Amino acid sequence: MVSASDEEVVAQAKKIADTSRKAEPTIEEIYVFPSDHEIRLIEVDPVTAVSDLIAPFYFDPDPDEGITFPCAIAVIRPEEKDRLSPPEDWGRWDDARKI
Amino acid sequence: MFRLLNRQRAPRCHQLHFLQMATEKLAKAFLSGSGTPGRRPANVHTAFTGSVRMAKQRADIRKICGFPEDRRASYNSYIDMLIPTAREIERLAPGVGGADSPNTEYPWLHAGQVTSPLFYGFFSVGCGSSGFPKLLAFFEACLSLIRTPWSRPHLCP
Repeated sequence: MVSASDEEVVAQAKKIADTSRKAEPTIEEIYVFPSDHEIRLIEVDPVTAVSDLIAPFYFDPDPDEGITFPCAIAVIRPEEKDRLSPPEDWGRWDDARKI
Repeated sequence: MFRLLNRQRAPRCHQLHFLQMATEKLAKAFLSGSGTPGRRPANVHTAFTGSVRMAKQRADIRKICGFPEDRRASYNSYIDMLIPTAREIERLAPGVGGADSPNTEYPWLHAGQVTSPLFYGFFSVGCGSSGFPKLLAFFEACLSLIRTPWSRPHLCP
């Protein structure tokens, strides 16, 4: 079941996703992973370096921009989605929601 | 070190200070390789953006980033996308942005108020943007090239 704060996290995740898509038009897909305290995003973009693992980068909240949760973003290539597991504690790909 | 501080959610000025210094060292290595042997490159604080731009000419970096020859155009766009974030990181050095601009090392004076880097969010620096993780991946790929050029298989033909 999705709690109120999960929904809040997803709403803020969508805001970040919109910003990312505008800045990086090559992004093909963005996934948000469930959390009630942190925005967890994996962006799928063919125009990025190859990776051996999904290592997110963590950002502080940015209340002036309406982002009140901390945020973790990782960028991978489309072909890596089948090969790489989400970061520990994020759950599985099946748990993610495409936004 | 930067990854560790970032994972631990250390104050952002500490994270960015390490990153800015590390990018500066990487840039210095690039420029030393391309300049006169034994001579210190000038303006190392502002060398990072230049060295990112220079990476377009480096087949070894293109390959380690996973862009084969037939994706050269895509690689060039990728490098172009990194440049604004590289510039933001470069400007964090106190010598680049000017004495009264936000930097990760020393307090600065703005509108009669002293601000400490510790209490400044540095939100303008890649916050909530995928440009930052992309640049980080690029940086780590370059480091792996320097560190162990023999240990990593060629990722593309």
